[in-house]
Amino acid sequence: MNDHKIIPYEILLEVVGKTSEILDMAFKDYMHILKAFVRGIKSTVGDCVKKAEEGFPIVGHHFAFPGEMLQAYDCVPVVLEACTYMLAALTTTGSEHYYDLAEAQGHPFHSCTSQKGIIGMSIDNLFDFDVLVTPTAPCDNTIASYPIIQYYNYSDLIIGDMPSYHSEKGYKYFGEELKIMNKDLGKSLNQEPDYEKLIKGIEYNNQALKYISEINELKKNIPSPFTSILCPATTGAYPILNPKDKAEFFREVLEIGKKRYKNNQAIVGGEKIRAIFPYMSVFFDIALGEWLDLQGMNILFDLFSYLYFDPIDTSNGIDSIMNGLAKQAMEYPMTRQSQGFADKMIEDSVFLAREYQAECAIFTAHIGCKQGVSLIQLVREALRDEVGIPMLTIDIDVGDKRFTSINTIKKEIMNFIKTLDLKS
Amino acid sequence: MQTKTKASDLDQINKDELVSKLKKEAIIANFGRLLTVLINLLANEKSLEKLGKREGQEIQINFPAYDIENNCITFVLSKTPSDPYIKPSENPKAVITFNVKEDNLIPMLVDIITTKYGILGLLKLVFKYMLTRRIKFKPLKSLGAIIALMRCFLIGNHDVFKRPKKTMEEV
Repeated sequence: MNDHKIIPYEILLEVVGKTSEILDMAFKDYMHILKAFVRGIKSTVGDCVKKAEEGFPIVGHHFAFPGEMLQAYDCVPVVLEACTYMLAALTTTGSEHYYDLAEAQGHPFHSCTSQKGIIGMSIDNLFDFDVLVTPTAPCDNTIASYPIIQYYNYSDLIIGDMPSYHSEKGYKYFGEELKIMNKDLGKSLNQEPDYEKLIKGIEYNNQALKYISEINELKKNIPSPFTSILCPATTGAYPILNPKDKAEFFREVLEIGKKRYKNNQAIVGGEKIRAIFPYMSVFFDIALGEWLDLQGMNILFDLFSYLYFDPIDTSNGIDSIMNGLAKQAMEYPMTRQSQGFADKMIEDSVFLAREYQAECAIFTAHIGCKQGVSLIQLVREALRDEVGIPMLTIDIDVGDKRFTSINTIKKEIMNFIKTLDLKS
Repeated sequence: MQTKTKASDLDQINKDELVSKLKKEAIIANFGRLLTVLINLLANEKSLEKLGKREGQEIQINFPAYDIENNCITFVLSKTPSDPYIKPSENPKAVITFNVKEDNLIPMLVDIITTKYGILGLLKLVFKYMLTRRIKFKPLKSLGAIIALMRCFLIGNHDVFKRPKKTMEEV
């Protein structure tokens, strides 16, 4: 009997299945990255749904928690924030009903929709988590929302304290926290961790990181062989996909890039403008990337598509692996830039713009991210002073089209493009 | 707020049925999103201008393959169409019904969108789908509105459907 403990994943599986079918049948030589992404999601989410049906315990976790740790257990890992935004990307109704449901219970309108949607889904009994896991990062929304999700799910909640100092001392401290979380997870699930499975997962992850760094090298070429959709696809793929699917997705993307590089193939509209999104991509519209390509604007990076950490050496025992995971978690996009001090966000934006020869930047000021929105002027000035490029800011909710519609976003970008000197 | 199945008390209703209903709602919302995306990205400028001339008119598309209450989407015509509503139109200019079984729906949708707009494309629609009653049109008030929307669905002329020339290696 199916207990339907992860209904949003069941719905997502159905929707990615249909999307994949339509894309594969309609477009033989277009949207390769999107097709690979949808395939990967279908595979991982399909595995999760199957395991949930078989009765494995459900572990909901924040995207900033190193999901590889869950490989050591027989469980179903569910990335909470992914449910909300994947549905927002692929359906017209998105997760709006669930945002409204949470707000109707008194949840503030200005909190992050990624978790607000999960609160609404929990109110509607669409989840039945056994355990929830999160670090105290990257933002206030996380810390405030997880206890509410726990309240509606009657689940255990395991929280790891992440320090603000992103230094060797800080990594060591969080490594110790991860070990405590690991113990607590074992207790909650009533299982002993299988470290061989954990190591295997990390090795797949290491492969994915190797492919990502090669992808980033290829992006330095003018024109870049990758299309704008790679940014939101990377944002979704890295935390959602299981390690094996993740390695496969980034391998496929690299192959696509190599082939396009060989043929000197640029985005559909021709790469007239190289741009970065210092903050997030827009998640409620899966086609914004394709639209930007048609306008000749190639988004090289957003906050989530450059990873500032190295693979983990798996040969030095579990302590060393935990410390490696701690470092990766603390340097994970958004956690790195939002959880510590402002300089990281500014430095990273300048680094990406300079290193990849961006000609402009677009900052998506997500209503939920107080820590990100407060930095807009500093990032704008740094990009102007140090790289000499302009930055457009758009006030949005990345997961709710009702806040700023996609048509308004497109109009603002079109007006911005008119102010730039275009290559002919 | 759009209509959505409530799942507040799962103990009292059959969970399987509820999940099946939620899935069907999501599939219809998925079709709505994908069709809007394709129109906005790939429909030609002329077709979009024709759509723009009918700003605000509503066309309802029914998917009877899904046996739920709101098994339709309502497009509000515009030069830059927004996502359709997942509910019946209160004032439809026309109603289109994709009258095929679930398994045949995606192949039919794909066949339509990969068809080139033109006399031949429209004839194909008429003979292959209309005369066989696989697509039913009900022009309550405007046949022109149906044609304006359908020509935006026929995007087979777009460059992305052209097969790339093979490189020497592939040859």
